[in-house]
Amino acid sequence: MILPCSSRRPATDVALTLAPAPGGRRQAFRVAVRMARRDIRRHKGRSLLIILLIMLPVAGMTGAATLYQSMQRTPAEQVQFELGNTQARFRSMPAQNPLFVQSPVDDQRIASAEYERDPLFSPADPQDVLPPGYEVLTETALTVTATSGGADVNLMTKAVDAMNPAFVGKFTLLEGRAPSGPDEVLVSRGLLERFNLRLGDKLTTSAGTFAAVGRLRDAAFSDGNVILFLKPGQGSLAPAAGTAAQAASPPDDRTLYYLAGGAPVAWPQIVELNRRGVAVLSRSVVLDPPPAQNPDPFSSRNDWPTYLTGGLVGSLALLEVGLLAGAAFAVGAKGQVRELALLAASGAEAPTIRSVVTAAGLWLGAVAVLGGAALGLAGAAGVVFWVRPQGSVRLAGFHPDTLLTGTAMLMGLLACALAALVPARQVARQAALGALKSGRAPAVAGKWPARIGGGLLVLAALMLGGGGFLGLVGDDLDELMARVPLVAALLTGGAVLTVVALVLLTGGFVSVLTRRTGWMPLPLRMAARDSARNRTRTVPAVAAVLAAATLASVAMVLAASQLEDAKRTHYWSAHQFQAVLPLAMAGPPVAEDAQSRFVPASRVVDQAALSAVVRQSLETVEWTQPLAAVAAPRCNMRATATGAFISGDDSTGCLQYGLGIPAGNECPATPKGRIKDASDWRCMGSMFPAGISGQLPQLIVGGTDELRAVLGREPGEESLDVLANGGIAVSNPVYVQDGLATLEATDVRKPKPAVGHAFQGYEVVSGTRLPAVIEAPVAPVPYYGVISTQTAARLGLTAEPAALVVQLSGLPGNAEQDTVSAALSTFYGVPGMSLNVEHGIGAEGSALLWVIVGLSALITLSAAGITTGLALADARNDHMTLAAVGAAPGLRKSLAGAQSLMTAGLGTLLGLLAGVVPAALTVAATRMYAGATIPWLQLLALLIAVPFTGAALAWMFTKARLPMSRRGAGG
Amino acid sequence: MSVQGPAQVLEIAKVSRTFGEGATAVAALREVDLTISAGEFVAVMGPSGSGKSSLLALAGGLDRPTSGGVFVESTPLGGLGLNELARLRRRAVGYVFQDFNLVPTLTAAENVALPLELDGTATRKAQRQALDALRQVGIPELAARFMDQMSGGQQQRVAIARAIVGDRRLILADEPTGALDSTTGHGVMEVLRGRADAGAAVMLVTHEARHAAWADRVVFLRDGRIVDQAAAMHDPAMLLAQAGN
Repeated sequence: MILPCSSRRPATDVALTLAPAPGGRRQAFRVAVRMARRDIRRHKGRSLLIILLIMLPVAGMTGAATLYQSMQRTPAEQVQFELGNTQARFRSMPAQNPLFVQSPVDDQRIASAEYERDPLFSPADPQDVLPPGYEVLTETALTVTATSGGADVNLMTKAVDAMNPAFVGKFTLLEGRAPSGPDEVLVSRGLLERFNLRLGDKLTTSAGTFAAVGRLRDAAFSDGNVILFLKPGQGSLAPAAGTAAQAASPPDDRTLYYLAGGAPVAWPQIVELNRRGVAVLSRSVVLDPPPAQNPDPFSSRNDWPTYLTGGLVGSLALLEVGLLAGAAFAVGAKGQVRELALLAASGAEAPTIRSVVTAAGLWLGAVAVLGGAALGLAGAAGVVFWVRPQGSVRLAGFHPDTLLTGTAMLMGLLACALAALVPARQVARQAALGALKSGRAPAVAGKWPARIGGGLLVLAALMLGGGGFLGLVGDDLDELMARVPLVAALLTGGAVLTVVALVLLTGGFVSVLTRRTGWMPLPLRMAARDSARNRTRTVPAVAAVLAAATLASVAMVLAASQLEDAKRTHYWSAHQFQAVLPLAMAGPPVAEDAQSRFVPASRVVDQAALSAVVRQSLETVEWTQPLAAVAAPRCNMRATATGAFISGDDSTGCLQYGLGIPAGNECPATPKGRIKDASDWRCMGSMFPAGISGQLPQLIVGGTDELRAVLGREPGEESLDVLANGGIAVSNPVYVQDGLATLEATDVRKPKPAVGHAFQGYEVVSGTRLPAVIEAPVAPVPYYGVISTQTAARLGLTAEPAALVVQLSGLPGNAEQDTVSAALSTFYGVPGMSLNVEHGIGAEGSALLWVIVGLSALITLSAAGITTGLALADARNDHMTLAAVGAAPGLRKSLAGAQSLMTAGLGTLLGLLAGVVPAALTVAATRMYAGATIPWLQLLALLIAVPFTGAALAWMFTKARLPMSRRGAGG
Repeated sequence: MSVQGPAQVLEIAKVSRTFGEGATAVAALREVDLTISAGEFVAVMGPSGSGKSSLLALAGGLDRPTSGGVFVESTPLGGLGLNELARLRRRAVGYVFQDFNLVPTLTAAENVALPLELDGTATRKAQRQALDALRQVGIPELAARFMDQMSGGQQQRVAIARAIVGDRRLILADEPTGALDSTTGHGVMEVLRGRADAGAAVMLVTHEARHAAWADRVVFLRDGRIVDQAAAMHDPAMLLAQAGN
């Protein structure tokens, strides 16, 4: 029933005023917030997506910040881990003079205004300056070895009374029991694992044989460390308790003195002790440090680079998700168009209409950042509380950082609000009447983004062009290098502006690229036009892909260039999986004059026996090849009072033989010594600079077998002929000119005048020109030449056994290394011998590039997936129409695939353009690496494989059935 | 002692509205003159495309004329900014649309209170006034319901309640009964008539002569021009005959 109107009100009794009502904006905002809250509830899926998009990077940033802070010890943790319950720790300080001071909170951080040694300064022994009234406990580091796989392995060994109650908090017995006799010890988990022991097993060491009866944790070291804990005086090597420093005349820097009980050690006491060369870690000082000095010599620690890097990565992550969330908000705003238009018709001003969408952003953002912070903190706490019991000291404790967490939350909230603001402005601008009539958002394309984007693109082009010009144009390399900071700034700024410009221009690109689509198949045509019509949804997603592809392509070009550079400059000590063992060992100098004369001695080892030893130790030996080489100089020399060397009566032993570099074959350099062109054949590879020797001898005497070994392949006929004809096979072309190489003899007693501090070699005393053939090895191992035995004899050169080349089928494992090292040490009679196998260039570099492709693909597929899902939801009415006109159900799948392809393809294409060009220009213009390397395969994968994969996934995961309703069918 | 007639609430003076430019330009209204006084109920009739809805949009400040002037309570709309137009709509103009246009995220009472709240009225006070308006249209019990919990007729009553809440002096109704059955439509017309009797100026756009018969005056539009005006005819058949002429 409708009630009759009861009152007749004069129409003009109140004048119409249009001034803003007091509190009107606030009240309107309340309405907006209410509407936003209810809209979020009505669209749970979309809201959850936005929350997750913001929440996950906030969680990541919060977690990373918390873990970073958790790595820093608090003062309480510092004293617990380092001192246990003791008052202080005294140690010798490596001071050169009395001016050395220590950090109040770290006895191993020292600084001084003067680092010159004071001859009058004699550091005190910590034992001599210990204050009275304390129980003194020592901890002494010992050198102990144990045998593993036949090899001697060094053990970190501490002689300490770890079970003393004063060390509670520092040492913790985790398993087993305390030692009860002289043959029982405590060990770390790492030691048990290294020697494959269980508690109760015995371990033979250079200090004796002990039974490991307990697993101990030293809070200052991770459990994975191989540590043997002896008691003071235990074992044959350990000094007796309290006598650690007595035998040594200089202060014993291996022993730490802990003071238990008594009064706290104050900072003035420590300052005084520092003057005497003793450092102290005091519980009371760490917990209550003195005010920092001005200037503070220990203020070098700078966290800002870490914070900046983290902030940059976090900002980029939030930019990405902000763009993706922007697409979701755009769809939401579009769904609200009618509602918002009605709001406008009811008298809401544009700010109120914007508030509805931005309020949704703030609501969702608030939920997301709170959830993200909670998730990040919980995750970090989980990691800390899981890692600590595992025995890692990497994380000292759970240290949430309020400032960093708050910053991450603020950034997330800001990203969400900004993501909502763009569609909000768009919706607020549109004509209310049109929206009310059609229920669709009339396209109100602002021109400012395109104008600003165009302007920025021009500016970016100018900066890139200017940077490129300054960096590339000019002959004076030294001058070009002086410009590098400016060039780098211009190119980096240009690259950043390019991305910003392209993001702003994305809408225009979408519009232009989707204009002529009549020739396309129906799904692609519809997807293209849908992208163009719904730019508020398309642009953020394409921009997100663009930004990701830009970063990925920049990273890939830089990584590929660096890897190529690393490959080019990799130092090949031998061919891959080859090792070279010496056949001649330098013996102790034969003293002719106790003060100034020595004669190097040499001991030749049996190559057959050595080969047998290696083969017995390793199952992966493919072949071995002994090499003979021209004998190294063996020259009697005597130092004069001026430091120069003069020879005795030896006239031949002081000659060193090598190949000379003909004029014109030197690597061109600038006056300041810079290589002019790193890609010049005279400057390339590990053979540059020429003459640097690897494990292989430089001048080998031999034939086919020797050549095969050093080439890594069968030698060519030409080189065998040249050997037979008295010539030389040379690996490095810089030594050969007009088919000849010059064998030079230099006198090691006569160094050429140095240029600056650079050694210029020895004076050439003779040169012999030999026919030469360039025979490039498989890998650019350092320079060598091969001559035949006959040629060596003809030239009067002495050949002697030099090296045994061992070719393996792969890298030996740790156990094999232990075994062969032990065998070699025994064979040579020299401790610490090992087999250094050339690793070569692995596939890690290529894997890194694929990882970058994978990360970028993840973002691209996410963006494409999100926008496709939103487009499908958005186009429900269109799909109903399609169903009504008889479209096949598969069309919906095709549309989804085409939509995904459109977003991923366009974004990736623009992103690669924005990334590859500035990155390549930067590498070339700054000479960061030898040259810019474009990883075409990975870029093509990103450009083609990833978008099509996205399309295939979208096709697979989209339901085929078209929605049907009477309304959609026009019924 | 002078006797003043009812004040003019709406004045449309030589208003033209053209959409598009050049060859694609379409003149929706051509030099239309129309005034509606307080307490007057004017129905606008005409065939589709005659410019009825354009006229309504101009009257409510939702659109701007290409030429001519629109005055609401003597205030020229042409001189108002977007924000002032928004305030005008929430203080002086009540809209009723054919398809109700309720905000789905607000309850019936909140929908009705919307213009008041947007104008700074405290929520509780606005709700009280909204309840009064809902009472006037006979559905106070639906105050807490959302749009999808009401029938079409109920939604339209809520829309009318929103149009009449507060001190609105101009009510613009665009085919308000188009989506309703005849009984409900009759009720809606009763409400609009009641508002006019209470002193509001009411402008109704309709195709149906039986609804136009509720008006004090009927204006006929064709091709963007007012071709005829008629006084109240309570016989729809006569009105149809007039429209046919």
